[in-house]
Amino acid sequence: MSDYDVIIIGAGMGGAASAYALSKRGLKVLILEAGPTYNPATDYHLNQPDWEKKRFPFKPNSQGKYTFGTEQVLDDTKWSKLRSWNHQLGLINITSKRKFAAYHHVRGVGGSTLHFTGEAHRLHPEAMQMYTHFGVAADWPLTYAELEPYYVQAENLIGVAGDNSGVRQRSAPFPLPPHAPSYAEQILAKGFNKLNLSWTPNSLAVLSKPYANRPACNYCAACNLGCPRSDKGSADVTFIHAALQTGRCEIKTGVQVLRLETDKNAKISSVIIADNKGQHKFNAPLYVLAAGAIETPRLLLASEVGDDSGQVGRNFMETLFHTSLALHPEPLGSHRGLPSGFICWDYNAPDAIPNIIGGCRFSPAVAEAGFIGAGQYATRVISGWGRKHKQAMRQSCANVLGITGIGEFLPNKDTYIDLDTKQTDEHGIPLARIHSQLTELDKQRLSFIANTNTAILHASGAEKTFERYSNYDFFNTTHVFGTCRMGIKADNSVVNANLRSHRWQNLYIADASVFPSSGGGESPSLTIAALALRMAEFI
Amino acid sequence: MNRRLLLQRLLGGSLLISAGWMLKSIFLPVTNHEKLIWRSWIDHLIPTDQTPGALDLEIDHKLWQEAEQDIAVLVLVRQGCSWLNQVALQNYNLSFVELNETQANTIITFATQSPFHYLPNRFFRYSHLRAMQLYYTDPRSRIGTVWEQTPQPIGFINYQQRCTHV
Ligand SMILES: Cc1cc2nc3c(=O)[nH]c(=O)nc-3n(C[C@H](O)[C@H](O)[C@H](O)COP(=O)(O)OP(=O)(O)OC[C@H]3O[C@@H](n4cnc5c(N)ncnc54)[C@H](O)[C@@H]3O)c2cc1C
Ligand code: SF4
Repeated sequence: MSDYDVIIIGAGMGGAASAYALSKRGLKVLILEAGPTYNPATDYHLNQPDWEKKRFPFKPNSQGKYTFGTEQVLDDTKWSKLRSWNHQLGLINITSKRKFAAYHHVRGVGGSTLHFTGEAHRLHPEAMQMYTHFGVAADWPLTYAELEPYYVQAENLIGVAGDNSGVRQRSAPFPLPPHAPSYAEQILAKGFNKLNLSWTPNSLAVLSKPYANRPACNYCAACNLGCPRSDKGSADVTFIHAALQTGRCEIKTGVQVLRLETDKNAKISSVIIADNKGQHKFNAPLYVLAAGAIETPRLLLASEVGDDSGQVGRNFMETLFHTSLALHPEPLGSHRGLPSGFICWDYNAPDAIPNIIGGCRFSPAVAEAGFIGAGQYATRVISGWGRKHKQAMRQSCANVLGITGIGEFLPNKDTYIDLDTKQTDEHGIPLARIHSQLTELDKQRLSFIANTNTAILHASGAEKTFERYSNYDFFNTTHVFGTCRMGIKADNSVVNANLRSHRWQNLYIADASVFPSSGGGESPSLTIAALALRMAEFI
Repeated sequence: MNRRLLLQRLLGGSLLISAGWMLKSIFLPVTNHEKLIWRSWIDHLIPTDQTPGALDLEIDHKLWQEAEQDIAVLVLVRQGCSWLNQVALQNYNLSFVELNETQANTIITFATQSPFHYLPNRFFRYSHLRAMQLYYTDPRSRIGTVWEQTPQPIGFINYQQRCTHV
């Protein structure tokens, strides 16, 4: 007999929302989380004089290890304009290959939402039917309408601020009014207006008014370094907090699940874990795997808990993005505000970019590119040295304007996760190995984004572009999806529409790995939460 | 001296530094003079004016310590210092530490304009990047800048308004 009804592996957005929904339904939940707990009030450094040096406070075990496959050769004859570049440093990647930089993530209670920007997006309904309409990726086995009530639940629990006249069909208003754009964003918006591009306040998991005993945002722009006020709706201060309040949810941190064990009845029988006291076994009637789109397939593959389709680890999708940054003559003070206060959805539909399948979206990018502190300005923006440099720093009004476009990444056969054949972690478990290749279609989409970024900056009156970077010449990803895709059939998907494994009757997967397609630049966390809330109703 | 001419001569000078000489020199113990050159170089990159300079915040010392942790960086730093001194001697008949601001700036300009993968350029890029990063993450450096205030605890509730700094 187990003390728990369900074991959840991972306390990121997927695990947290699952824990909340299942414990609210009366189930006794145990969350096993490999990383540590963060206390927003004491762990984040934004009120300390050397905050820029400290950045996000990664603690021991708060990042996983992984390796990379073969680097893709860059096709500069066609796409050299997409190379990452800075006016001071020149080309950032001087080789002829696409370099593997980083999979940005946090291990801990809250997972990667601890340093996320807080965008809370609903998917474009058509982006969920990419195979039917365009013959690419795979269809979601459920419709936007089926997911919509769970989006509402997630938005209400998190306290999402947004504009009700936005682009998606909604059955209920946002719980909070939208944030007003910063001064720099008002200037950037002029560029959109000139080009007849529409924009709307971004829907954000950032409180525009006090909500659920959390204060409103005070616009410090540093969300990616951890929000000490807890107004940013990371999973720890929202779903985990609510789950713990039920009295039926327990979290064990610093516990890495090493293996899932199975029985002859096509069920998971137990999990083997390692903590600072050694290795142990836990069991429960139900298991929810929510270790994220890279660790979830790793754990399944390492446990040899595959499926009949051979799809575990396949269809990996990363963040397709291009960012341009320029100086503007206006005294912008662009270190203030929110990282991404407004958004343009005009090209978000999968057929919105002329002659290119897959959509994209555009939003401001100054804070996400790191331009909130003096250190970045001194090295990436202001040229020179000596007295002139110091003078220029003192005269600067933080005049950077930035724009990012994020687009659909379509699955391809060369982009997947498998187990490294040589490198293991300290417990002897093979590391996840990331394979990533961009297709011609991805590069075309990227090129469209790059050109649009340039046009927007120009139209907004920016004077000198000083930096461009993209995932053309670097694997450098914040959103990862798709390595245990959901679908109707067991021969081409890993879980069904309710996130239950086709193969293992008591195993559910509730993280970004179930996405059959990435969407046209929508940020994934709200969809991960909505899927998990829906799953809990079908368990 | 005509700046252009000097640059041409400096370029010649840098190519004359033989790889063998460089390699041999890095196995020699670090001298006080090398450290003084480094100190002077960092001082020229971020001098004291109405706000503290890099030396006031001991950036030279911190970066030297950092270089000692990584042999590749230490080699770059020591080679860079050797190069600085050699160029100063060739062109001004003075050690780098004795140069005035204009003379030092001429050499720095040359370093920035030398080809990307050449020692002077790599040395400049490395030391400029690290010195600026370290210097500006110290709050004493930010006096009088738009970044004087930390992001929290009060945030920027005036974020919708035009920036009034300067
Ligand atoms: C800088 C940055 C900005 C972002 N901005 C946004 C944004 O604005 N909006 C948005 O929607 N998304 C954003 N994202 C992406 C978003 O954070 C992730 O998509 C989302 O958090 C993924 O949730 P998840 O539950 O799938 O996985 P994760 O957040 O990765 O959570 C998985 C958890 O499982 C744990 N785990 C893994 N393996 C094991 C194991 N073997 N045993 C026990 N525990 C394990 C991990 O420690 C982790 O805590 C951003 C990401 C980054 C890095
Ligand atoms: S901008 Fe708002 S949400 Fe982001 S860290 Fe600052 S206070 Fe928190």
